[in-house]
Order: sequence, then structure tokens, then C-alpha cells
Amino acid sequence: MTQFVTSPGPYLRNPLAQTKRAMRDYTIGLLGLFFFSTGFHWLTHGIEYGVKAIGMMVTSLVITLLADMFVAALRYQAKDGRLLPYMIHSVRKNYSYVTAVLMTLTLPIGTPYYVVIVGNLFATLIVKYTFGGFGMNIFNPAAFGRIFVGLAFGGQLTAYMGSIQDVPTLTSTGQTITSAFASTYPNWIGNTLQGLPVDSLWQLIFGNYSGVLGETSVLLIVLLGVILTLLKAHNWRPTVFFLSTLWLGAFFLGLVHGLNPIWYAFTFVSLGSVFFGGMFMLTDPVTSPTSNYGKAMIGIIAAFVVLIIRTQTALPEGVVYGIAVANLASPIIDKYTVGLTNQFLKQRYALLSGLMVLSIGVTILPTMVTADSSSSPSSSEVVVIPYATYRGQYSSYFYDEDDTPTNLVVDVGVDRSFNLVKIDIISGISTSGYAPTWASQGPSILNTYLSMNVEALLAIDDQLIPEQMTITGSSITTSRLLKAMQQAFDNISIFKGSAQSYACDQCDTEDVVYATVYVDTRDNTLVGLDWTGTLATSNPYLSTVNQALTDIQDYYLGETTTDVLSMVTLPTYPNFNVSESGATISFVRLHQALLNALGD
Amino acid sequence: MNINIFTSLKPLHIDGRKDHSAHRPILELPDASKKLIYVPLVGPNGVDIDLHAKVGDHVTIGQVIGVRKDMHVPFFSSLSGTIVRKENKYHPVVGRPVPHFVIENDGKHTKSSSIQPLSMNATQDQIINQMKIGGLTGLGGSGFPTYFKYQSAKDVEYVLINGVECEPYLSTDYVTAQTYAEEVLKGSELFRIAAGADKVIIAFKSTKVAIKEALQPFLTQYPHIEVRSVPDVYPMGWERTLVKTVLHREYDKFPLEAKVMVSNITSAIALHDLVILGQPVIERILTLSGAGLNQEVNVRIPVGMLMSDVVHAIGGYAMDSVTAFIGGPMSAKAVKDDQFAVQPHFGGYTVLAPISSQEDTCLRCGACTSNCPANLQPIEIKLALDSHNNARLLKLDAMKCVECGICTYVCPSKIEVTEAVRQGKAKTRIELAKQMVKVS
Repeated sequence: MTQFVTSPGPYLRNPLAQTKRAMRDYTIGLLGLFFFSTGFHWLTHGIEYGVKAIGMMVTSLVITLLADMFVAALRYQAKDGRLLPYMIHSVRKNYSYVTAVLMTLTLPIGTPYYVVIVGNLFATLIVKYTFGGFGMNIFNPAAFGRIFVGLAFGGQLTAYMGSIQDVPTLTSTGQTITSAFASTYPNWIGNTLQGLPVDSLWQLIFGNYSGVLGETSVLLIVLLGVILTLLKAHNWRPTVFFLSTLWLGAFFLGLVHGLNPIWYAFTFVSLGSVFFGGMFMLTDPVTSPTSNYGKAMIGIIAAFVVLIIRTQTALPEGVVYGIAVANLASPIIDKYTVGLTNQFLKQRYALLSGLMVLSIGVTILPTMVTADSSSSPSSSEVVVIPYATYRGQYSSYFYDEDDTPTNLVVDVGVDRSFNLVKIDIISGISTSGYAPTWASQGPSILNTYLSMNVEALLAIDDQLIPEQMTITGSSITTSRLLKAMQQAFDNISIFKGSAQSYACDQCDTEDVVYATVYVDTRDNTLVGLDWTGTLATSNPYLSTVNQALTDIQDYYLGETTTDVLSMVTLPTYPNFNVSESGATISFVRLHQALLNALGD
Repeated sequence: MNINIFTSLKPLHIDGRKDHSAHRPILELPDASKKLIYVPLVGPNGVDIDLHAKVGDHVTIGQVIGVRKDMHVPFFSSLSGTIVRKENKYHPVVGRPVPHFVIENDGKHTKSSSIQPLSMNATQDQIINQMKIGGLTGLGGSGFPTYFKYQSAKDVEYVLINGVECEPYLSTDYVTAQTYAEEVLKGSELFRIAAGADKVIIAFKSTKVAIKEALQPFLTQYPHIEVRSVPDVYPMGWERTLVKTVLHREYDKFPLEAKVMVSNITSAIALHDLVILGQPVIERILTLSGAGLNQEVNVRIPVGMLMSDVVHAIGGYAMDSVTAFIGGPMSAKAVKDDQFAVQPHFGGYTVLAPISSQEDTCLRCGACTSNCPANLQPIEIKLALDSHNNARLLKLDAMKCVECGICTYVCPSKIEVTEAVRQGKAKTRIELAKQMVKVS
């Protein structure tokens, strides 16, 4: 007898639509990004970078698995059958491996392992499981985990491992790319990529630079995003509305401020985690509204937040916060989307476009009236890009009863002649009690230092700091500052020499020029080169020499002392033709002074 | 379905699987298989019928056994023989066991001719009356008395003949239309006259070219009839979707509001038989399909044959445990057993392996909402139902659901969404009734 099994209809299921398939495709896409990034780091920075990247991914996966098992064990009750099958099913059902992969991709390569562990635990246990596990979380676990890690361990999230001098292709201060851009251009309104480890917009898009593991290659992200949309692994609406609102906002911002709007718009969206967050975190279906209209709306809301944070606040990057706000807005959007999907079309279109216009407007208007002074007295008013930056530290106790010393970190920017051109205090300048004092008196002290060169800086005795560089009652602060700045040049040795020659046949006195050479003792390369004295007698020769100076410095800087000493005759500078300048004598003299300085 | 940026941009295509049964010729059964038929003594809405015969009577093919009391719909005998007994059998439309007359085949095939045939020149009123005395009902699955629909029709511009058959596994319309092409055209023309319309459009799926090829040779004789192909998407056969796709018109409750009348293609053939031959619906070409059967085929059976006898006649079941339903797997409901009589508007009997899937957590992907042809938000209805939020449930307009089954079909978490919307509908009815009681 045939048995008839009844169940409510329908009795067909789409074989292609499966949650685990969508999650799997999504993770494969993310792993594609990961391999690109790991490969890049491995090839450009060496095997230890590649190993670190893989290590971070493995750590994330293992930690989230352990967290899953832990929660499954907590939830297990006798009625659920045997423990192991229950645990396996629970781990499978919650797809925590996606969070692990995503979390790893939001971190830069220099993140310490303990930060990776804590971040993953936070994302899995707190952001996901306290709300009920997969399908119930309000916030995207990876996005919120990233916020937590950024707030708690901000300084550890470096784009390099070890010391920054090891990786010359990075930003001069080793910051992530958005911090670098934001510190150069506080309102995110800038027209060049100076100070960043990329040479052009195309490099930004292609992604061959060091940064956060998942964010660098815009091209790859877009490709993967299109594939995932075609595979129906995610919805395209949040991403498209997010990117277009950002692009339009940046376009109009650039237009209003006289920048090339198209270049600026593309640069704006290619810097940082816009593409990554918009493609992989904003599209998380669990934290989005259920209707397509809602999904379009959160794209615009997230873009609104990102625009405001980038251009109006001190934070360099706002994408994860934009995603968090969009996540918050989802339930409200759902609640107010009633009726049918073909009703209220006019109102819905109007609301979406209105919100877009509002985002763009609110971004642009304040920037048109804002002054461009930054609030912290850490650098001069004029935006200066140093030739090189040296980081110095000094650690000491502010008070006797402190149990841990405070570490003062300062970046000293110099030009080719090793004049101080920029001083950035990274951390630890003063206690909270003395902060107002520093804020009011600090800038003038820094300005005084900025009128010196490194030789003069190193010559200051920290017991006898001149009055212009001290704050009465706050001598510990200023002494620490000096020591930290001096420490930055611990590896620099100074060589001095001179040369003299007659400028012309009829001249009766010789012109003397002095060379001060700064050499990095670790590899004996020239890092700074300054000439003083009579570089040339008069115009036009003097201006010729001055104009060529930078090219000539570039020629010598980076060479070892041995190589320079082997240049017995005047070298041929690639960017400057000495014989046509008419000032050959001057150049010979400069070269000779250099040789004499090193000859000791 | 309204396609805009907030709905899915690509309509849903479901594999029709018509080739399981459509490539075979229509199976004719020997008399030995057609021993008994069962005629229900209750109308589809449960109302008793006026009996014109009793146990022991000898009846002929086409003889009136009884007439529904509420709307004039006569029931005919589809065999010649004797009414041997009265027996209770489950009636799938009524939903409970009801008394049936059991008629035994005497093999003589004697026909009666209570209905006078007309001609292609019949008037509108004549045709509608013929529908009435012939007991014609909507053979596309509605089972609604056709005369009732057409007698209140006025101001009609188009008659749409629905040859789409979007439900997977069913191929009865497809096969029947190819075999009886001339009857399709004549019947469609008769529908046009009955509606008082100017034009007829016969709609078929773009992938079912055979229908067009069968009709093409005769089309020139019927200047008012046009044959139109529509995309092969689900649920193209739904009245609302079809009217929107073919004529770009929308309506609130009935197609008549858009000046359209819609009838099924098999009903057109039945109308032809009724008007030109004076023959009521006494047989049906039924699609038996699905992996749960040993043979998948279209079979011609007399109306009233017990489904278990039909299955036995074509080779029986292939599995020990099955899920079976009248119609196709998307919009039909599973039956408890096969002990029921085939009604004229049953198009197919599909038998599949029982479906087993474990429900995952909803990931709020919104696929159900993007694909709903009625523009509903099924997942929101489910959530409102689960959280007992009646005010929100009413705002979500669950009554518009036609239970096409798409929401469950597309769900990646394998959630029974359609069932939740059905329960939402039931809850809505209760709430609305409560509100009416309060007001009155």
C-alpha cells in the first residue's frame, strides 16, 4: 500500500537557492581577495609578510570555530540528542567562518595576533551570539568587530611589521592610507596623492600597495562583486546606492572646491574601505531590510554617514561607522515599509532621491565655510610634505607614583638638507592635566624647532634647553620632547667638510663652501646633505645652482659613503646638465666639499 | 507583476518538465479499466443537488443525474450503465466525505441527447444558455460555472484564451490544444460572441511553439483571433499576470474591470463540443506525471473515475511513500489518499517523492519579496504573524496572495513561507470579521 505524505505546499524548491551556497560563494570571493593581498605582501615585502597574512586568517578561523563550539556547548540540552552532532550542526548553521574571513580582511598586516584573537572573539561572541546567532544579529559582526578593534587597539593596526624603515614603499609615517590622506588634507579635500604609497589613481584601483588586507584592490573587489551578484549570492542595491551617493558627493565636493571633480570622485571612493565595506559588509542580508527599497535606502544612509565623517570630523575613515548606522536603521525602515512593493512608488523614489541630495548637500555646505586649522598643535599651519620622516621615542614617568612610564612618540620630518620641516606628535606628550598648557604654548615651541636643522637639534643639551623651547612648570614635557626628537636621529652621524676654489680667473679670493653630510650608520648611506657658504658668486650662477640643488641632492642621497668617495671626478647628473649651466666651477666645488666631508 | 527597481528585475523561470508526459500520445483506456464512475451528490461548495435519478436506474452518457441548487449547473453521467449504489467518498473541493452515486459501465456506450446542438451562427444569448444547460465550468482549474461569468459580462473588448499552463508537470492543455486545434479556434470564436467582444487573443508560452504551429493553418478563417506568445516565466498563467503581459492592463478584483474576459483553452474546446455537437463535458484528458508514478502520460478518462483506478490503469505507483496532489507542485495541496473522483476541472495528478528539507534561520535576503507576483512582502507577513502583530498584518494586505508558491520556491533557507502567508490570510479574515462585528 502506498503511503501518502502530506505537507503544506508548494512541493518544488529552487535547487540553486540555498543559504549555504550563497555563503560559500561569498567566502570564496573573499578568499580570492585574500590571496591577492597575501601574494602582494609576500612578493613585495618578503616571506614573513606572507606568513603573517596566512597566520592571521588561520587564527581567525580557529578562534571563531572555538567560539562556536563554546556557545553550542552552552546551549546544549539533553533533549537535543548527542552532543557532537548537535555541535556540528550548530557550527554549520551559524556560518561563523564568514565572519572570520571578513574580519581578517579588515585588518592591516601589522596587526598583532592577540588583537586578531580579541577582535574575532568580540565579533563572534558579542556581536553575533548575544543577539541569538546567525540571522538574528543587529550589527554586521565583522564591521562592529572592526570598530571595536579600531577603538581599543588603534595604534597597533599598522600597515607594516617591525620598523617602518624596513618598508620604504609605505606612507612616510606608516599610517594606513586613509589616515595619511586625512592628515595631509584634514577635510579630505586634496588634489594630490602626496605622502601616500601610491603614485596614481590607477595604482589605487589596481591595488598594488600595502594596506589593509582586503581593501586595496578596487578592481578585484568590483569584479568579485559583479560575479557574486550574478550568482545571486547577494543583492546589488546597497552597494550601488552606496557607491553612487559617495561618488556624487565627492564629485560635487570637488567641483565646489575647484578640484578635478572626476579624478577626485574616483580617488575618494578608491581610498580606504569604501569598496570593500560597500560590497561585502553592507550587503550582509541579515542586517539589511527585507525589501529592495529598504536595501537601496541603507546604501544612501551609509554613504551619508561616511561623507560626513570623512569631511567634517577628525576621524580619517568612516565606512565601518556608516555600516553600523545603516544596520541600526534597518529595523525602522522595515517597520515603515508596509503595503505592496508596487505601492507608494512615487513617495519611495522621492524619499530615496531626497536623501541622496541631502547627503551631498550636508557634506558640501559646511566645507565651504570651514577654516582649515587643525585643533591639535602638532604641526605648522602650512601643509608641508617632508622629504623623509624619522620617528623618535622617549619613555619616562611623569610622576613618581606612576607605575608605568609614558611613551612619547614623535615624527620629525626633514627636507633633503635635514632642516626640520614638520613635527607630528603621535602620542604621550603630556598628562591630561597639562594638556591645556601644552595646547596653548606648544605651537610656538614647535615653531622654534622648525627653524633649525638636525645638527643644531642634536647639539642642544637637554639640561640647558633654551628658554624659547621650554614651558615654565612643565619642564618634564619639553625635556621629553627634545629627547624624543633627538632619539629619532640616533642612527645618524654627521660629517662636515669644506672646499674652496676661485670662481674666475681674475678673482683674487677663493669661495668657500661647507658641506654637512648626514649618514645613516646602519648601512652607511647618505640621508641628508646640506651646503652652506658660497655656493656660487652671483646671479645668474647662484640661481642656477639653487634651482639644480634638489636634483643634485637626489643624486647623492641614498648612495653609500664608499660609492660617493669613489666619484673622484664630477659625476654626470641625470636631470641636470652641468656643462650647459655655465656654473661648472660651483658644482665642482660642491662635490669636492662633499668628498672632503666624507674623507675623514 | 509590476517590475520596478524595488522588485526583482528578472522574472522567475521554473523548469516546466512538460516533456515527461507531453511527448507521448494521449493514452486511451480500454473499457475494462473504466468500470466505475462516481458522481457527487453535493456541489463543490457543499450545497446539495436536486437529484434526477436514483439507485437502480439505468443511465446513458450525457444523462442529467442532478442539478446544483445554488447556480444552475447540471451533473452528467459520463458512462452508460446502472447506478448500483450510493457510497461516501472524500470530495477534494468540498473538503470532506460526501455521498456519491456509483455507476457501473455496461460497455454499450449509449448516448442521450438532452442538449440540442447549435451552429457557429448562434447568438450571444444562445451560447450562454448552452453553457448553462451544458453545465460548463472553468476547466483551467476554477470549476466556476462559465455561464454565470459570461451572463454578467458587458462592455468587453478582448477575450483572452489562456493556453499558458505555467504549472510544472502539467501538459494537458498543451497536448489537447495541439490535438484539437480547430476546436480551439471555433470555441474561442464562440467565447468571443458570448462576451460580445471584438477580438480574441490566444496566449501560449514562447517555448511551446507546437501550439502555434497547430493553430496556424486555420487562423486565416478566423479574422478576429490572434495568437500571441508570452515569456516562459512563472506564474504567467495567472490571470492578473497574463492580462498585464498581453494587454498591459491592471484591475482590482475581476478582469472585467479591464474590459477583458479570460477563459481556459480546454474550456474553449469544451464550449465547441457543447455548442456544435451538443455534448457536455463527460471526459477529461488528465496529465499524470511525476517520479512517483511508473508511467508519466496524458490519459483520456471519463469524468468521475476514481483516481486510484486511473493510477492503477496506467501502471501504479513507483514508490512506497509519495506526496500527491491534484494539479501541479506549486499551487496545489497534497491529498491524503487517491480515493476521490475526478472532477471535470481537474487537469493533472502529480506524484512526487515526499519533500524533506530542514528549515534554516531566515537570512532576510528578501528574495520572496522581490519575486512575489502579487507585489506582497511574504517575509514581513510571516514576521507579523509570528509576533502576533495584527495591526501590521492587516497593513500588509495578505488577502492579495494567490498562493502561487513562489516565495517558498525561492527561499534559500527552505522556510515554508507560503504556508505562513496562508495562515496570515486566515488570521486576517478573523481580524476583519472581528472588526465588522464591533462595528455592527
